[in-house]
Amino acid sequence: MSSTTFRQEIHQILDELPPEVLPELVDFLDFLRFRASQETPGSRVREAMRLYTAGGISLGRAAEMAGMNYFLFEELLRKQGIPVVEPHVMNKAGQAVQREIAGEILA
Amino acid sequence: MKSSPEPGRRAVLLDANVLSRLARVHQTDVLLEAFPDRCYLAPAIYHEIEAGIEVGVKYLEEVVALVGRGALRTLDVEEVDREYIASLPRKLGLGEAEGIALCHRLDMVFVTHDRQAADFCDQAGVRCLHFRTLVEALQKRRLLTPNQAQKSLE
Repeated sequence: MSSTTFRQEIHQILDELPPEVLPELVDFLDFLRFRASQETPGSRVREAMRLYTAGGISLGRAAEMAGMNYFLFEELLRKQGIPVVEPHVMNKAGQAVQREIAGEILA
Repeated sequence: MKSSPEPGRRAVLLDANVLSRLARVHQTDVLLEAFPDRCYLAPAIYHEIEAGIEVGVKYLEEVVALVGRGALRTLDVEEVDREYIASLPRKLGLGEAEGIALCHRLDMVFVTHDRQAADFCDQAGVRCLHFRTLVEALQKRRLLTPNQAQKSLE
């Protein structure tokens, strides 16, 4: 998502907030600014890897968080021996659905 | 890049990890045999592929070649897709979000090797094929050798 889209979304949220929560929001934004000032590119990559391997975010989101190209991030995971978080192994019903979709779309 | 407005129910939209895994083992042509004229990608993924080539990920050139031949087509994201993307959880990247939004609107199958993307498809009622299932099916149809199949999943 682009920076412009984020900013538009933030403005929309701000417009909908009641005025009494604004001081609390300013405190939180100060905290975020402080945290961002402490971050290094390396720490962002490590945090993105941690969230990805914990199954909390997708590979694409992790690459965005790390500030890296998707494929470079994928290569980095491979080089570091970090396993891919692939879709869950399914029960029999789920496996049947997968086979059905494969059968339907393959020529 | 050409866009097709009606990809159809048997069309597939490929996630970035699917393309990179097939390109890394030089098997992107298998897509032409498996999904003739039914293979698409999201614009954000195509841009990321171009950016990947610029920073030295050479095997992605195979994917760009497929796009150049018209065998793999990029779809346009419309306003309705952008609204859908804005409603998606922040745990997905833009490429995955665009892909799922397009599959949602055009009733296509999203092919991925990513758990978060696959789980979201399940929740949203978007048909999703796991890359592992695809590889097994391609091996069964002798479009991939066991060695190629294994390497693409490593």
